[in-house]
Amino acid sequence: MDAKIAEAGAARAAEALSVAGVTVRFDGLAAISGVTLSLAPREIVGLIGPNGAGKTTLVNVLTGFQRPSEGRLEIDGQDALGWSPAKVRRAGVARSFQAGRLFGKLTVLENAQVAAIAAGMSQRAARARAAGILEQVGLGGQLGQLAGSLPYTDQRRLDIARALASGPKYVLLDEPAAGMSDAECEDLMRIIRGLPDRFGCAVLLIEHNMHVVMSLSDRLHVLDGGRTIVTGTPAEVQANQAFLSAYLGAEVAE
Amino acid sequence: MTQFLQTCLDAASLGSIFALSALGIGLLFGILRLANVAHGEFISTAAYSLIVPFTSVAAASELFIGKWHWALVIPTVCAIVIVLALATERFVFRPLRSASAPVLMMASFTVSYILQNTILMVYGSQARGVNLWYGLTRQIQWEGLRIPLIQIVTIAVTAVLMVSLSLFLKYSRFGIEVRAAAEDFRMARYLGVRANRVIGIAFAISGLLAAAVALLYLPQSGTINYAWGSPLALYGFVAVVVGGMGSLPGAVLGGFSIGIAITMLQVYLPPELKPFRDAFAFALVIVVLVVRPNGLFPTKHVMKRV
Repeated sequence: MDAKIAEAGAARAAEALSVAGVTVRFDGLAAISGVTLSLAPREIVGLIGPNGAGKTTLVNVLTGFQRPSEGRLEIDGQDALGWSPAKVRRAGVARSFQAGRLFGKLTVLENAQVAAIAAGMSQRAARARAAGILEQVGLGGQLGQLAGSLPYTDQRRLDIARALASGPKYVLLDEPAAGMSDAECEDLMRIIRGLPDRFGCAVLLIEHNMHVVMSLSDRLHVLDGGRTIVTGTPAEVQANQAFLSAYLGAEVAE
Repeated sequence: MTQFLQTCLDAASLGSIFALSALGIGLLFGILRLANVAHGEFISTAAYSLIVPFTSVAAASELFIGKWHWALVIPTVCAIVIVLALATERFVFRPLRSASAPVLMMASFTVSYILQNTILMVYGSQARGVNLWYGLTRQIQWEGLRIPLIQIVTIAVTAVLMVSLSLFLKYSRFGIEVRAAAEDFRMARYLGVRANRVIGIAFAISGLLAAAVALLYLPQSGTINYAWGSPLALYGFVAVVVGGMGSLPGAVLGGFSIGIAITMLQVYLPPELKPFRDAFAFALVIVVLVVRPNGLFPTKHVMKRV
């Protein structure tokens, strides 16, 4: 009995998307070095850092797009190093893209639907799921419109919907608020804040907008020059000298 | 006026053939960036499957599958070409999945030559008369027009195939996957679209369309040789390019444009220039491409993807 409980506890402890000691070198230059990060179910973690800090490289490692030179990648305790991006996605890790990369000639509904179909759903179930998600991200009125004709900010929301369509356990959002106005940001924040409860997924949020990250994240992970400099709650991070000087150095100095 | 209507009918019928050929080529090009030169041999194979192999040359070849009832001939010929197309995919193009477009094109050239030489080996190099569905060459008299039945059948079958294909692509789950893969293959694969299945379906449809081209054109042409399908595929290619690469409606419209151009040139060129009809047709193609390099009906995404 005790052994069983201990086993269940161990399984729960392993339930996370994590990298440990990850280093990625391009032509000998390290883009990230020795980074350790984990994302537990239903939590929102903010990944921040100046341009060139290695955020997108880390996301690429977490989603199988980039094989690290060193380190480990685990999904719910399974060694996922060397898996193809598609296999990582099947294991429950979905992402959005900075460049969007939507299917411009497919409709809004079809863009989300194809992700659900590809994840193994029937045509009818995929359609219902896609429509439901699009409604929640505020695109319910534009289902029949071609994705390529959407305004930029709507394309970002569709990209998020497409990431959610396969029912992922972990979703990685790469700068979802880029280019959005304040009002649109508020709207996006409401959507992201609801993801753990509505879709049962954890969120890794890569974002430059401090207001967005600070108010949404349970925890923050700060990268600079490819290394982790601080981790902790938003309050802890904001009080940290290393964060202030490295990340907001210029502003603090003034 | 009657003369003009007659010409329009000829143009629509020939355009249908080219449009079907262009659809088969355009579908694979859209998904794989594969300019499948072997499409012509898919068409030839469909035609040759109708006659008895290894026979001595006779004025009219003995029919083999072609002797059967049409309701059996059509599915059998379609099945043969679909199997051939799938085999080509499995053994040539799948191993080359990550190859560049020029490599794929060279591979399709080799497939084309292998199939053409196989036909030469099995059926010989002489042209063969094939008497398929003689009844279809009958002409209907209507309001002073003489309408060959085969033209009506060609236009009707083409319309049905196009409507079915677009419904399939628009509404079926495979159709949505195929369209997503045609637009961004890597992204589709990432989302979990099964590449082998989607590409297999595309090859099967391409084979089906090649069989349709052969069965519709054979009663009109009456004679086949080992290179019979090549010009039909060539016009299909030109239609794809003229229509705007990567767009299926463009391929169809391109096919009809070429059908119309060739028929009009055939009718209205002075008699001494008629033997050079195709040169004029291709000159027109060059003019179109100089004026509109992305084709008559370009897609926005073409340039960055090729």
